[in-house]
Amino acid sequence: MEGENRSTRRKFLKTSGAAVAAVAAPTGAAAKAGQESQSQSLSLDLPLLHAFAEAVLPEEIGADGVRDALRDFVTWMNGFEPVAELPHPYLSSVEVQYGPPHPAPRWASQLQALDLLAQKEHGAGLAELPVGKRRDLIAADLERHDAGESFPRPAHAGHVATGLLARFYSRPRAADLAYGARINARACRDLASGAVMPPPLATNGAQG
Amino acid sequence: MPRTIEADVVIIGGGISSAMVAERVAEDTDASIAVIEAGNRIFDFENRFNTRRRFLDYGENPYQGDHIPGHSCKNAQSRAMSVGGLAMHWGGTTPRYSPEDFRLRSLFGVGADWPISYDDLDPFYQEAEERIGVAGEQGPPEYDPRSGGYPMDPLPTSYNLGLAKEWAEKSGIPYWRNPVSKNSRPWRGRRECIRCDTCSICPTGAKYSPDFTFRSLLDAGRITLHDRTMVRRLVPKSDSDAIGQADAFHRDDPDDAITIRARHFVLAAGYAWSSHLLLMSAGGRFPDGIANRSGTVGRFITGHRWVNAFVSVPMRLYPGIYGSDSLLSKRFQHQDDEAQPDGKYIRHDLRIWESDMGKRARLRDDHGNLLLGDAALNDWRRRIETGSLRMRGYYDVIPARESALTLEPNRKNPWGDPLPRIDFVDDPVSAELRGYTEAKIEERFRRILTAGGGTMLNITFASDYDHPGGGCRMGDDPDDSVVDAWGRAHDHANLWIAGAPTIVGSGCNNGTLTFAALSLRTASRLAGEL
Repeated sequence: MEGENRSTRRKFLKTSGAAVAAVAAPTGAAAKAGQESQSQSLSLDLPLLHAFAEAVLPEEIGADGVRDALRDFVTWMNGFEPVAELPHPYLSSVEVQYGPPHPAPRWASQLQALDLLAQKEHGAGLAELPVGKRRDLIAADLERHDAGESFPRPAHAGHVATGLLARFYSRPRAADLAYGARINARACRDLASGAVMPPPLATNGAQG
Repeated sequence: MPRTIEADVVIIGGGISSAMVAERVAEDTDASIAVIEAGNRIFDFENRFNTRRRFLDYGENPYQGDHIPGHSCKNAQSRAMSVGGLAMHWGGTTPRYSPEDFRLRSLFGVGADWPISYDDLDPFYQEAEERIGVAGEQGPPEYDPRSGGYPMDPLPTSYNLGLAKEWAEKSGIPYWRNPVSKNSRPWRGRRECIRCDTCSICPTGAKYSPDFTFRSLLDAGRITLHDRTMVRRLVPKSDSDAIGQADAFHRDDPDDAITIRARHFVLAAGYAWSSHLLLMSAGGRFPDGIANRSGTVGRFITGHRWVNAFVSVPMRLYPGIYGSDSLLSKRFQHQDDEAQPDGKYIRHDLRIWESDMGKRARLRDDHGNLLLGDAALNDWRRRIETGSLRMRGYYDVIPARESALTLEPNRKNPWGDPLPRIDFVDDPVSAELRGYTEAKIEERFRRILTAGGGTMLNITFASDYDHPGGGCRMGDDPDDSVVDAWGRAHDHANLWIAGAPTIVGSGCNNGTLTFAALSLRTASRLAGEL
């Protein structure tokens, strides 16, 4: 099991650079914000993040699923614009609201703290621990952050675990996995296809 | 540097009512038309797939800058203010009001009758549906009368909503598809809907929004559009009660006055800012404001309240395909003993949508345990064996005269003008019936649940009005209304008020189509005088 995890992490190290580079190039203000946020997300320790993700994401998505989820998470962070203008709340005349600052610095420090804690409590970094022990450490840390029942919007997540899981479970493919059906929410589709029951996933856990 | 804008017709406001007036007058006449809008011109249709993506991924406003900082109406429905108005954010729902809505005093002995009937408005409803493109399903004729068919067939019923309809109709209450301004086939240069399911930011243009009308009129050279231009006063002529000019400024050069002259002025600035401008124009021979000899400008602000419930139902649904799709029933808007069983005035619609309430992934289970690893997915799977639906009823509220927009002298916008506030006040009849009405709607929700099976997850009751209107209500009596049955101000022959401000009541349905129809009716009369 440990060997498998290390192998997975090495594989991720090889692909994580490509994942960051794969972010679509935005333009204008978004480009500027993207450049700033990219440097912030890069401050996350990606191998450590991968070890962390293995402990909080569903095991059944497998190594490929974890890689895909992390690639998406990093891409999402790279595109994040701090303090963005939010939609007007309906039935309200309050002044226009703005979103939160970039969460990456907060999450990076939490990851580092977890790693230090693992070393102090178990004599090894988080990535070197079995998944079960990692999960126990993370769960204890989450309890200290007063995580609620529902997932917040990812950028509002107080803890990096909540942020990663909120993003993972907000993706259409997570719903497809849960329902065992190719719902493909948010995808534009022809009118007729929305009128029939979604077809089953080709294989259990298919992420295509 | 001071400048002047001149046109045969000047339309103040740039929302859906303005678009309807501009298009109809442009088609019927050769008159020059200027549209004045305080907000920005956000003609970004070509970028909407990107803004939609960022809306989904990051929750960002898809219409950045569609508001004026520091310029707000307290208790208004939204801060949106741009070319296209609130109909840019609009979900595209287009039910008509019911015939009974126009005759409350005659039929039920409450509120006031409109000076027009449903039949008077029917051809303009039809015209509005043609112009904006409405896809709909004919409901039972006794509840959903129409003289003509919908321009487009309804969009195919989504899988989830098909099951919901079977479930709901076990109660004996008929449901049909809520009509929408979304194309079930290409319509007037806009493409067929592809169910992106983010109708507040439609990336394809299949949902109507007024920017399409304005762009088309601009391309044809039929209007001039002056955005970021704030009108702060209407000024009557010295030798008559006609409006001679409007005083304005551009937000980029607020110190340079703009004088706007026209043969006819059309105020199409919505229920809040239309009354605001009339009250701001007080002075001289009109100490209480323009068009306000009756003292009713800003009065009788109307709307409806809602009862909203989420229910768990014994069927497997797949939320996320087309959550915007909804069912409508006007069964309880009708006048009969089942709709008003106790002889009391109660009228409401019923709507049903798919939902994922209680069916989303979560971080903790019912016992507060954290769900990490496979636990969260397993918990999610267990809970989605049954589905969720959202039920809602809008019930009619009769507004009191004191339901009013007023100016707050101590709250000013960045240019020093007093800002408005709205205080919603029920007529005593509605105030007394509020608890009864909400209990009766809940009882009808439970009737549906009992017949179809399921449990109530939660139920909530609105505090304020939704879909507001009024403030310049229409009527035959100049002592008790602001405009006549065509939208012409009783006090000023060349001042017209279009759409939402002129309504007498809000009925039980979203009013956007009614605002559009009323605006077209106003435009038809105005065009006859040009």
